[in-house]
Amino acid sequence: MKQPLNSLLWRIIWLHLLAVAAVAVVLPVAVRLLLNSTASSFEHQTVRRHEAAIAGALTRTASGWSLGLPPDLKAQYVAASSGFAFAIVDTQGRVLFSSLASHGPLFPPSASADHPSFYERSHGPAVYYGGSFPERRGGDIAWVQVAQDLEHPDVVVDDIVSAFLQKIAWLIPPILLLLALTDLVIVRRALRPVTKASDMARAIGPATLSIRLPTDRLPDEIAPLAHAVNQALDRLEQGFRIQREFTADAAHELRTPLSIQRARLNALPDSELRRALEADSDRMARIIGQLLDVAELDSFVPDPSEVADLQALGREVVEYMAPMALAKGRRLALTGVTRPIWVHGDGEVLFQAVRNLVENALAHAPAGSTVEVKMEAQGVLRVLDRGPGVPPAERELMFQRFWRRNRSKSGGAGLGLAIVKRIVEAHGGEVSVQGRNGGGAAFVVRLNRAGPPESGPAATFRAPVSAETEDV
Amino acid sequence: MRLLVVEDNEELAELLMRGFEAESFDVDHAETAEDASEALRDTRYAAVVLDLGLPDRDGSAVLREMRGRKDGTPVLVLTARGGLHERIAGLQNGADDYLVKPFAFEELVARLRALLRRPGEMLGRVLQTANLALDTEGRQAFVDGKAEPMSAQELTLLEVLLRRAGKVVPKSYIEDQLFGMTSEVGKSAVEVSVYRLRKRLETMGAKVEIHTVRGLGYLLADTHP
Repeated sequence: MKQPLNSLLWRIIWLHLLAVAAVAVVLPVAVRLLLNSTASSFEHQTVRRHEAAIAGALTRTASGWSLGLPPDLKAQYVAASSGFAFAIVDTQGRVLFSSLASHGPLFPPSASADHPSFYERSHGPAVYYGGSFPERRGGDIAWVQVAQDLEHPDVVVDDIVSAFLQKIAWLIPPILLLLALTDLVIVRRALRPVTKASDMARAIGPATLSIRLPTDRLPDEIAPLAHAVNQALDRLEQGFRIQREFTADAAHELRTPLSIQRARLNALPDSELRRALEADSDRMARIIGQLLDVAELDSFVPDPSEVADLQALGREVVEYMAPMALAKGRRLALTGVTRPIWVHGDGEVLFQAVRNLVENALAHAPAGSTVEVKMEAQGVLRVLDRGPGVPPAERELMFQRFWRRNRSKSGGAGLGLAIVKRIVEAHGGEVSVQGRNGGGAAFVVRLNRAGPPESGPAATFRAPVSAETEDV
Repeated sequence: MRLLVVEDNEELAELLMRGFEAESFDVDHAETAEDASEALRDTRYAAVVLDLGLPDRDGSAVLREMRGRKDGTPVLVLTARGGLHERIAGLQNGADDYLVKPFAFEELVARLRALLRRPGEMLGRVLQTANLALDTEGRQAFVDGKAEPMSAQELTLLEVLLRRAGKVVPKSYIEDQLFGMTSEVGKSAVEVSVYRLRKRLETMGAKVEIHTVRGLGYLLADTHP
């Protein structure tokens, strides 16, 4: 059995689901990191802007440091609700100026004298973010410290980040799943021509070798495969055709010299030798015909839509064979049902099967006896003779190719019954041989019954023999 | 009676022509489809014996061409291909009859005569099997050339059987020919008529026999030697 996970579609779905799962994990983390870094850079810039404004007001005179903040700027730091605070600390750690009521520093004095440092501190519920920046005035350095209360209502950057992440966390899985479904539909659509091509490929057999897979609508990745399959079919079909033509040619090449032989024999005066030679010639012709039938049957598949009237078929075989039977001193009779018996099958080919059975029966029927073709309504045809019958041990064997009871005895090639079996089985029927009450053999052919054809009996099996009958 | 034999194999053509001439036919020979078409345009033949395997074109092309220009000359097709669908293959192109090679020459002549005997053809006037002849227009039967008296019904039955001598004539067809569609016919009316005709032919010394093919009909043939 084919593993379901082996299908291209399933592989794509699985890989896709894995990718979806990976993205579902990686995407929120990446978004979070990105948003956080963007937010910090905003805060960073805000702190720097405040520091620059304060540093602009900071001067160093001989008497010491002085801060000349403009009133509007000063107001910002006085109101506790503004969320900003500053302090200026000298190198000894003494607080020179501070916006805090406690007049304390915002951060401890920096260790390094050259670089600004940044801090994040918590004071109870409040989170402060700020920095300490060195400012040189003449030979002295003062540290300007600025901090921002991140929990202050005016500071929304952090809130946006967390709110955004919460929302997007809900959105990501459905979006990814929707994407997976869309992909499923897309892949299925893309693979539809492949499915179609597979269905067509399944119908290819010896008798339907002319089918080619359509390559124009296949995806570029799969078209080369279909193309290669088509090329393989081309080669196969050619091989089959050569084989078939060889058989037909061989038959043709043998039949013409046999015709010449027959015509030459005909010109001889009537004698026992001439009749014996004619019989030999007949036998050879028959074997050639059978070989041709066997070759043709190897690639024969009946059209499932065809129906044949088994009753008409039996009648036509009797009509066709009666003159030959009478010429050999045997009689033929048609018995049983006289209404049409519709069966599934190719009437012409089934005709050959019944004809072979009747020929076989006539070959074994004693002179003066009757071979009976009996029709039954269930799609059964019996050919009954009064010959020696068939021992039970041989009843299976005798349908094999080239089987003959006594190989040293001249006669047919042992193909007739094999042809019958092949034809009947190709039609889904069965053929068997039984003993017959009162002596002889009963060959039974069972075929699948069908409804009458819609177009009426006129469009079905019509043998030339019966057409001639109506001409009279 | 002029025949056209279309056959590319020289030896076979030669033998066929000799055979037909011995049966007192006049015969023309064409080796290719081209020659055949030309001969058929120039001459009106009584019948054509056409081999399908010709060197230049398939014989069926010649046949299609003939039927295409409403040439109804009877055509008997010879084919070496045969196969499972041989009966259809032989007749689907508008041939009147076909024979699969190899064939017995007697069979070929018998089939040809049957074609020539068809209604509308000149030979239809006198039907003959063995030493029995029937003049269908004069309504008179002959055995060894000697006129024999027969009833109208016997003559009709004999004609029906002689027209398809060697082949099975369905009983239902005989019934229609003898009694028509209107009259009430007893179940065994045909059997009785055949029985009477058999007796009559026997007393006339005709070397023919009417065989019964049970479930199907009757067949008139030469008495078995």
